[in-house]
Amino acid sequence: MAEPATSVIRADGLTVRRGGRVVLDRLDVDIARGSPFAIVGRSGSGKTTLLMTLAGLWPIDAGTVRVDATALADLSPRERARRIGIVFQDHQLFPHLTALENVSLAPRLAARAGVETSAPKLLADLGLEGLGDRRPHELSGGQRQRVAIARTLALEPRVVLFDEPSAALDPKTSRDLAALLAALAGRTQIIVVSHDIAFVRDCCDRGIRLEAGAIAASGAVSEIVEE
Amino acid sequence: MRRLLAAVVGSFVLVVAMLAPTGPAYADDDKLVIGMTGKYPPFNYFDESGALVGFDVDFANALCAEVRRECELRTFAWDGLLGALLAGRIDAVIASMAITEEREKAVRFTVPYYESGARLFRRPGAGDPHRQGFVIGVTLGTTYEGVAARSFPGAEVRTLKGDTDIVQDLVTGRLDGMITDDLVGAYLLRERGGVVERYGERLVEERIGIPIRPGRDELLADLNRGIESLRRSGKQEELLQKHIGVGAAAPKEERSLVSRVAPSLMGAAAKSVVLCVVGLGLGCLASFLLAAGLVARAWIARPVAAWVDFIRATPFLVQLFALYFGPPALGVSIDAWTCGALAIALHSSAYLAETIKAAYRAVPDGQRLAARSLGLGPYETLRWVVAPQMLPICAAPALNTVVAMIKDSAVVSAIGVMELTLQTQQLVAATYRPLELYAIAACLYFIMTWPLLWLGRRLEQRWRRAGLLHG
Ligand SMILES: Nc1ncnc2c1ncn2[C@@H]1O[C@H](COP(=O)(O)OP(=O)(O)OP(=O)(O)O)[C@@H](O)[C@H]1O
Ligand SMILES: [Mg+2]
Repeated sequence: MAEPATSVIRADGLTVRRGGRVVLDRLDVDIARGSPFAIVGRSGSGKTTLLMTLAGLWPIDAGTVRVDATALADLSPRERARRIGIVFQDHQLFPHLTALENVSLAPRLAARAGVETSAPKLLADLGLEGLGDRRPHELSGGQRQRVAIARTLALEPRVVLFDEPSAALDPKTSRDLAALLAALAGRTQIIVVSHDIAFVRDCCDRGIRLEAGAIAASGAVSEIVEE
Repeated sequence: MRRLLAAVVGSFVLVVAMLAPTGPAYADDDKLVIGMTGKYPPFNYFDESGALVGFDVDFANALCAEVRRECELRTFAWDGLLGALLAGRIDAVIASMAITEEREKAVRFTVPYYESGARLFRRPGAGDPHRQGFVIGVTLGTTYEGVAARSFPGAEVRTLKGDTDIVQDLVTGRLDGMITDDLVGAYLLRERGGVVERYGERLVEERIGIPIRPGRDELLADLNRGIESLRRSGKQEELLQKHIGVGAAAPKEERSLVSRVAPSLMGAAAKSVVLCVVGLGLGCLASFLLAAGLVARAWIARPVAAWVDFIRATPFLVQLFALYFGPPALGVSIDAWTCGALAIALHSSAYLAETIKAAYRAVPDGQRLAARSLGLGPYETLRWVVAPQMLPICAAPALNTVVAMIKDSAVVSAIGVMELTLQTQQLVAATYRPLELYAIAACLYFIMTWPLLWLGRRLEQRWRRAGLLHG
């Protein structure tokens, strides 16, 4: 990378206990702005937990998370959502709203200017032209995922987290998604949690590997994946 | 069931009597508030136009004039009359109540204002009542059962809910005769001559008096003087002749039963609707608060859940009586209609709260998490994400609760709130035509509730097609 590495998201001494067990143990991560970043690891290693705490959605027992040097804990929900967004594994689209309404709800409530034009444009950017009036149950799995991505991007967050984005996708759609994420890298910092090695190789060139709530490896994708 | 009911009512009366020995809520001094059932033709009942009429009514008005007091007549269930008297809701009961030792333990009676007694009336052609297997109907809870057994040892005695039912069974031949009050029988002969005929002498003599609360000696003396005066002047005899007089011709009605009762039944249905709208409206508002409590932190949710369970686990009728008889014991008086509306609100709020809670829980936590991740605050999440998804889930069950409550609103007739069921009962008492009248009432309830059931089904279909409902 040519530019100097500036930290976009950083956790210090992150500790999370759930049901009496330590799930994340004094974890330190520092992710520099740049290409999509992967978090890999075996099932149960703590990937989802790390993602949810980085997104500020799950409580932290000790440590801090900073986005662009601002501690998440100091931010209101609205300010936090402008800095960091998340695309859930099961998307969690709002079933009573159309695709377009799903995308425009949060910006509208945050009184963002120009939602009327930016939301349809976002859908078009993600290849969902003409589908804005459909409700989630009238869309395919891949289309639903792209609506969820559009919904998160609508607030223009500095970081977007993805939980297992390739989980329910066939190989072709999975490769398309990797390409999409790479294309989005110019707009925002992408962080992907996945145990799908093929997908990680397609979308990312750097990351970390978690093992039992601690970082076991860090660096280029080829170095962190176990064969 | 009836016995249980009587026990519940009885204990309420007892509690009230014990708690309120110096009844706090008297009607003001110059007005006499008089209680009766409105279900005892020809003494006190509602005619087809819905007016309270009968010998007791005319006598009460004459008596009030005699003692120079204004008169206000109120109707109560028979079971509730003495309770209302002891609780201070009414000053006197002019409801054809016989003077008995049992009653004299609790209340004071005036001198009798008329005399009557039990008599056998039989279906023409039913044969000798002294024969084996002659079937006699009597009203449950009256002394006539014992009278029948003593006077006609060979007969089979059946207890029924009231004279109306007994007459119905006489018509169909299930009964051979009935024992009832002599004067009531005279009225029955007038209304439905041919159904029964008089038999023999009076079996028992009864003196009918006016109960008042113990300790109101001045009122007792006044009423006694008034009764004597009405008897001396011939007014009492005149009124007896007017309402019961043997051989007095019943006014012949040209119009059919349906056209005669339709206006008052439809008016009563409208009253039921108003009562339910107010009660359920309040219940709805309360249910939101209760539901909020149910999904709140444990220290709030637990007591709220206990309350909701308590309301759901106790009969509506008992709650109604608690609201009706409870507050006067504590010095607060609430009128019957308000009690009815509040009972409906209370009862429906618990069921609706459960429905709302279930709908809230049915919206996946992931939806709330997604809303939070998009920066929505708690209110915005509820308003834009959770509530719109709850509506399809809870609309049909909530409408079911509403429909059940509209049907159960019939129960408030027990405290004398005028609505469809009470009106029907009154018309039945006045006309001895239960079959036709209850059929009409059932149709009116159907007209009130079916559109709601239909709406519930339509909405459900629509939401299912829209993918907002599963299963
Ligand atoms: N509520 C909980 N109570 C107790 N333990 C929990 C709870 N939630 C998660 N855990 C444990 O925390 C650990 C990390 O869970 P997490 O969901 O973050 O794993 P993951 O890496 O995302 O796994 P997967 O690849 O299967 O999604 C697991 O061992 C899990 O059993
Ligand atoms: Mg996971």
